[in-house]
Amino acid sequence: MNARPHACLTHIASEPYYQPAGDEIETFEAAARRQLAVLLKGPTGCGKTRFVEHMAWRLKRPLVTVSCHDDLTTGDLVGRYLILGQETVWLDGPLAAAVRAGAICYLDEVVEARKDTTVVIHPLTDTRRVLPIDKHGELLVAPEDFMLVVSYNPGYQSVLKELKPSTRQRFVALDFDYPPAHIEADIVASEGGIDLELAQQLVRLGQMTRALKGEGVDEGASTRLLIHAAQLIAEGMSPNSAGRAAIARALSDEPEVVAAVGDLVSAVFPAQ
Amino acid sequence: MRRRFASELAPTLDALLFASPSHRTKQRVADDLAALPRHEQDTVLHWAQVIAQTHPELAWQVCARARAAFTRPEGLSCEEFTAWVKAILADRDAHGGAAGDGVKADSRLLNDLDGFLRYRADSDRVDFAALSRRLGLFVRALSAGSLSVQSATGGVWTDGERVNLPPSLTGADAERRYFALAALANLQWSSGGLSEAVESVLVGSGEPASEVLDWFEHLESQRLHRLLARQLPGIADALPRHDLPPEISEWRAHEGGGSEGALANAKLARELAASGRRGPCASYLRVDFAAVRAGRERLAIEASAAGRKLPNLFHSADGQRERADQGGQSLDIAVGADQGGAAGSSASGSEEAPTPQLSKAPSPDEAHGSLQPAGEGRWQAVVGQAGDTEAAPPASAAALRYDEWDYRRQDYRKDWCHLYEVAGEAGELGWVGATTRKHARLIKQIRRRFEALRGEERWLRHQIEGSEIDLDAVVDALAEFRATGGRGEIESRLFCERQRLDRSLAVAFMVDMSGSTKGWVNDAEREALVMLCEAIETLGDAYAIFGFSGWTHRRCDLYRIKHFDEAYGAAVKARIAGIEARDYTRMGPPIRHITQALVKRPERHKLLITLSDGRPDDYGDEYRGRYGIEDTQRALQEARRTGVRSYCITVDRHAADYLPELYGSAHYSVLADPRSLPLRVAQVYRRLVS
Repeated sequence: MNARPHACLTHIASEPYYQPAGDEIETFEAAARRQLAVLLKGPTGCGKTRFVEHMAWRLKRPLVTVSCHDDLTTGDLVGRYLILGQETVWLDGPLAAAVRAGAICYLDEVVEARKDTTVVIHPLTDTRRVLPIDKHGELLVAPEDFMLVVSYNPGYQSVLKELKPSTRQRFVALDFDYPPAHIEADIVASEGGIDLELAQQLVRLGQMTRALKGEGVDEGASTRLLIHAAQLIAEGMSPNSAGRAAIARALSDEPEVVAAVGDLVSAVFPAQ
Repeated sequence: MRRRFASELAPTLDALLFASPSHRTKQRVADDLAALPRHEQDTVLHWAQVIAQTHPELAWQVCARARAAFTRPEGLSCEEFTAWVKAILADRDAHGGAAGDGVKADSRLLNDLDGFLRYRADSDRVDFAALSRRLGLFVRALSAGSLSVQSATGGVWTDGERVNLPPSLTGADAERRYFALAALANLQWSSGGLSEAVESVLVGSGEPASEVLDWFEHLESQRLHRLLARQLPGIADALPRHDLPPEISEWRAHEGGGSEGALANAKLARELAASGRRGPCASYLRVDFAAVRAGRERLAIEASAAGRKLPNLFHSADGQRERADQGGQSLDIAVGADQGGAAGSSASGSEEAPTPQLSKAPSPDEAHGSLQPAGEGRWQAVVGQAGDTEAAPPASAAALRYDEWDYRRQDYRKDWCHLYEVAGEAGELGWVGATTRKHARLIKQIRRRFEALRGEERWLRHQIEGSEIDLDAVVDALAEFRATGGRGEIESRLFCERQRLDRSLAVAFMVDMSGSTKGWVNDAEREALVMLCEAIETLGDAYAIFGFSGWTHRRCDLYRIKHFDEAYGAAVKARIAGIEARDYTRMGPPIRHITQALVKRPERHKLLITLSDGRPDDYGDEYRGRYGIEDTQRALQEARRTGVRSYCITVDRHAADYLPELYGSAHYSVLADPRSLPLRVAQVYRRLVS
């Protein structure tokens, strides 16, 4: 067996910035102590991935992140044999690597994965805490430090993409949403490197776009988009152009909606 | 190129205008056109051809006027002619006219080319119509979804539901001024400038004198403008500042942001008026307390009908609360509020061109009126009050019995509801065709989008046969073969194949046919169904359509518009056209019945989509309010247990009060404007199933 650490394992050395909005840190820590799996629900760009990175740092565990997609097979998660010269070599998939290393395994947008793929996590998420690797003839027993975290966005609404109850009921769930305005302004100021007053204006703009959900935009501007705008401003762009580039055009392709969000940007930040 | 002779033009015109009902000879038109230069002839023929596809009579009218138009003393360019024709067509589209009608309505634009050209030449002018979507989104965003916009004459004002903006603005920066005015009206509402407390200060006793209102409007315009400059500095400068006349500068207008600012200005306005000073010259915003009151009463009545706690707003004045409390039982109040609101909230078009479609707009009560059964519903209610609440079942169908959830008992009423499934009545045959023509461009767009969705293909890996070798599978197989020392069987599924995604989806649509949908909601529902059919036909999903209505638990009617297995043909189209507003909205029984139909389907995913205009409701007080909500919720839970997902699309502005409870927060859409239903419903469907 290959003794090198798996390439997908990351060790987070310095504290990733995270501003809690509720008791999510305490809940996550309690779940970690009790070896429970955690489900993060929330719209895109509200800080789910950052939260997991922050918790991996806090708990001093390595982190494995897998972005799920509809072509993700069980083999992609668990592992496969590769041919190396005249030999065959077993290569752990990210999930198996995380189990072996006692890491936090984070399956981002888990509903995007195929249903048969999602099932491999079942034996890891009940009292058994094992990962059977059929091809390799191995039954991996998860160490205490292994933790499974999955996320999904309930706002996408597609009936073809929902978690089955048998999967869903294996998790402690945490609800994420865009943080309250004052916290979000702190986040945007700190992550974007701009002053607080400007960040507050960006947040107000973000909140306005969120009222347009369902009216041309699928979701309003996420905290991530606001941070992008802030970063562009910090690079010397005018707030108006930054808002149009990072927010208006990112939210929709529909010309009238882009124009309307542009109107909002211009209302908050005068065009130069 | 040489011009065409009349003898060459006549057959072309004949071919183009053969469908024209006009009996006038086409020879004269051909003679007229023969006098024009070739490029003008070409332009006229091109547009005649375009118009004749949908409006043959109109094509004739345009041809007949072409010569006079091109030979007017001031001259006419082909671009101007094209713009004129497009304006006529847009006008016709806005009137919703099918082929053949609406000639009268067009005649204004047809006969007033000069007026049109003057209008067009006015380059400073910005029309509300051109900005309406952007302004709507803008105001929606500013007000967190509670305000919409409409165009109306008589200044800028809001009743707490809509912001009324002028049909057009002229002068420099007109576009930005539109946004600034809309933002100002939103601030007026959100900063408490229209609250009851302010009104009572202004009124004192009796109606506020017009000088008091004038002063108040002026002071408030100042206050709000300053507030706007702080909150949205990007647009406040589009409006010039109104300064107080210097001689009264000792009475400075209050600039505070909250309701205390409005209150202080209300007091100041009374003092100024009492001091006998002449009224101020300018203000941006009008104040119409009657409209605001009507809006509040509507809200109170609806809230009271739902048995909900009223917003705090209403607890400040006792009179208001009394009215609201009575609202639940008394239909008179609802009607009264409707009349009161008519002045403030009925939509009206621009002064020069009132369009029939807009003037047809119902008051908000009508559009959302759970309390107001229109048409037959209302008539039956009167009969019912005479002592007979039994609804006669239709003779043709056998009753199916369904249980109903009674939250007071915390148990089902067994076999309580009698449901009759009957075929929907056929309506006007040409209606669907006319709608398809009317929305031809939209339908084309929908088809293209849905084709892209259908075309979603994927690689199926590990196939026994296929178009390409699955390299991963080969490597896997070889590796495993070697790892096991050649003892195991070698994997034979080494190919991949591209395949269409099997969607395996069955959808049932449940369309509200209650009395309150009468008018444009019903039209919008039918048009939405046409769009949906076009969309889903492209996708190939199995779908069925049912209309529902009812009158008490003894008579729940389900009108079958389209079966899952039925093709989208003439019979279905006629039944879609025949959907009409009937009685009430008892939602539980149809949900239960359609769920059963869905459960029998072989498809893997099952979806029930409701198009409605309001909360569950039925004759009598029982189903209205909590009972109906709880029963509907229970029926939807039952559906979910059997694997049927549900989704609701509604035009009820107050849907956010009860739909999250019924469908879950991500499973409904509220459309601010019923007219957007046909446009939006396909988008919603696409989001749901992709």
